[in-house]
Amino acid sequence: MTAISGEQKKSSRLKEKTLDGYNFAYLDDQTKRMIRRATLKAVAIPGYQVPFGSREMPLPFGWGTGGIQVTASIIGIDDTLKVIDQGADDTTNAVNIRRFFAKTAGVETTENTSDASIIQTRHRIPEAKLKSDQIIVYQVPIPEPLRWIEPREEETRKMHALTEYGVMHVGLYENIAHFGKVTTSYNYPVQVNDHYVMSPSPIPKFDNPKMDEMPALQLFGAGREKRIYAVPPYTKVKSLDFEDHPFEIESWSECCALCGSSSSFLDEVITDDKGSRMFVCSDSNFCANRRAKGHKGPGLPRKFEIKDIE
Amino acid sequence: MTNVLLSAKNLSHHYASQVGCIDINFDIYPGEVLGVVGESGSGKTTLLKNISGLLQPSSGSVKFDTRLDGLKDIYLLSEPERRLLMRTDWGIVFQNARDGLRMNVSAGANVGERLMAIGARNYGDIRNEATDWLQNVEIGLERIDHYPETFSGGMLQRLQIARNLVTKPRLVFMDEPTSGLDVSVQARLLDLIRGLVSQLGIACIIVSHDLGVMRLLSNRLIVMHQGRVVEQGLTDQVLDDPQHPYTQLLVSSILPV
Amino acid sequence: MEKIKDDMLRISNLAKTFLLHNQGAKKLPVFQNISFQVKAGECLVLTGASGTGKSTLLRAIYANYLVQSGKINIRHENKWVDLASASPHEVLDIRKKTLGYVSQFLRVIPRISTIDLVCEPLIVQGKLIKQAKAQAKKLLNKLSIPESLWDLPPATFSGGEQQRVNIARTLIQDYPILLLDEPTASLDENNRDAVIELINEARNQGTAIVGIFHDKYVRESVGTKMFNVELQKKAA
Repeated sequence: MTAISGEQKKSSRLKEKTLDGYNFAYLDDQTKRMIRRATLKAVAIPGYQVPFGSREMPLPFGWGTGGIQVTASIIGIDDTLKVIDQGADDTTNAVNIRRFFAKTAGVETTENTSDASIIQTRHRIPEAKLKSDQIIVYQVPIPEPLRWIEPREEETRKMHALTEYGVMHVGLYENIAHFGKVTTSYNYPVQVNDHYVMSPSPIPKFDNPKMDEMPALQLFGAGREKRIYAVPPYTKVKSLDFEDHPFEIESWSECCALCGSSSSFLDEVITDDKGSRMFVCSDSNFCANRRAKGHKGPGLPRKFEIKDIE
Repeated sequence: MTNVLLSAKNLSHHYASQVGCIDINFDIYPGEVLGVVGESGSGKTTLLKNISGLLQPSSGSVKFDTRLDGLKDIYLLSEPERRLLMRTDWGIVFQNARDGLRMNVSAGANVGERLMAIGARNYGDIRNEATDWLQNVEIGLERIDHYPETFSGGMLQRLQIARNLVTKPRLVFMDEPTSGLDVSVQARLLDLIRGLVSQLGIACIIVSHDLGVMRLLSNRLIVMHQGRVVEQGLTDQVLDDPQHPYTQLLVSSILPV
Repeated sequence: MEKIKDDMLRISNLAKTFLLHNQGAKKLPVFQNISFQVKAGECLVLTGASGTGKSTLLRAIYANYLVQSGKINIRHENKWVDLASASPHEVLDIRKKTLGYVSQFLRVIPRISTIDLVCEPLIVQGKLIKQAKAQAKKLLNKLSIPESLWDLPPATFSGGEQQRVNIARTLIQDYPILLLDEPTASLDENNRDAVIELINEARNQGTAIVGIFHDKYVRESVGTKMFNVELQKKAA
């Protein structure tokens, strides 16, 4: 039997698995080129928001259209795609987006972080350290970190151009003044490459340190706001803070009930109507891998008792 | 003799065919308070915008004695340089306090913002400075974390002043600082301004239609009418011995109390 | 001291006319051809009947009124400056350091306490508040302003008290040249004498003074020479 060449395998996979009447990965080629140009510019200017012609996608704004457009423009038939939503591979959104690319691009998909070449994510960075041959694509709702204080686009563009970022510290000051400490816990602003201040997307601040000097390429897509930005590999990313109120990440007094991890971001899960709860790794793949290796957590939630209120 | 702080030469501004101000010339020295008085439509607000960097004049120049480079035309500076100047060495107190404050952050943050903008990164220090300044402008310290939305008109003006003075500007522009305020509130604000100006040696350019305010605050006066300067001189001289017909009319029109 | 012999003030050919534009351009000539000099330590008394322009002349010397012609040469920091043609900046500097003026009526700044009013000139010059206040208290005591009034704004004081506050505010500084317009007008004998003492003290320290005193006794106690404005007017 003659061996089928790699090329033939590719094109047969393309024919079998991709949808009839649609271009590879849904977007037409000119759109992909436009998005790639924007992405290239973004990579060349770390943290700078590049406007792009966001297209109509088969899902509404607010559901990840920006991330999908970026992924669609860079994905090739040989890529392996992982999609997570708040750390989990099995939530509705993650499943749908993964299926979308499986159908329109015929690519391999995976839940295992280290097997993926492209990871599209909403609101989390995987716990497993990313490598230099991987790309992570973030879904971004509001790309403009100054929007909370300055509604005018004209003015925010000037502020970025002139690095007038005093107001960002005003935001932190306000937190400390009202609550005694910085309470911003997600979408915590960062300064990239000692220059532009950027919104890291609504990832928990726990994940911010992962962005600093990350070996993988980080791309950010905001479909509704029509912006793409990027952090090239091995770039300095520093979370804003005060000298006397330095940046701190979250910590838990519990570990993961399933795998026992005390180094990952934990979700609190309420398990009954009596207040019982347990803490579980938000990164479902990370947790599953640990369990496969034999790690175990304290298990089922304990019953809630009166003395627990103190 | 000290150097001129701000120098306006042959300053004119036209709005299409409408005249804003024509051929304005004056110099202001450190520590002087210059009043610009005129009725509605006299061009005083246009003049203020021209000299405070908010509106480029149609012709003429506005030169400021910058700390590092001496006398420079402010409209020939690059935009970043000009914006930095306006945030540090200058202050602008707007007629409507809402134009000069951030209404959705606390009083303390409003006062501390300029410091944070020039790189202050110690929360404790910033808060201490904000506290000092609120005291200087007689705003109760218990209001430091309150939002300006909850402040009265007089307090808003005082907050504006604190916000501007925190970077120790050498020149402060004020546009009708007391208009719309109750008389007793006005009085308190004027006292504050007088005190701060003399203590800190700030030069001030105040635009107002109120001659009483001018008598109290300014030591020099410019009278504007239909876009032109009709009389210039020491405040007491212009008010006590007005030369120009328009000035004489203005002075004689003040209602006695 | 060399001060005693030097000219401090030189007035030459001063002329003033009021032009009232809004009263049909009515002209009110006040004086012409006024010339005189005052040396350090001298007290020139301006004399003449009421309405002959003495106050106006004094105000003109202070640059409060504009003159139509002539020169007002002031020895300021060892240079001669003509007030009539000086820039506002220069005039302000001269008023701050060299030329003091006690007006006939106290222009009351509302809400400022007496003690603060009196210290103000020193604070503007950069003196420490504590020192300035101490000096102010000394002067207020000398002028018999009771301590109970020190923290009150002078708006409600009697004419005499207001006048004394006025005097204190100017005399607290050591001006090389003083212009005094009826400083003792509303004062009783004791206070009048206190003021005379202060004026003579200043004169002995080398201050050049030009003053209007309608009270003959005061004139004779402080004046060292006279200038009759009325005569000058008639001659013109």
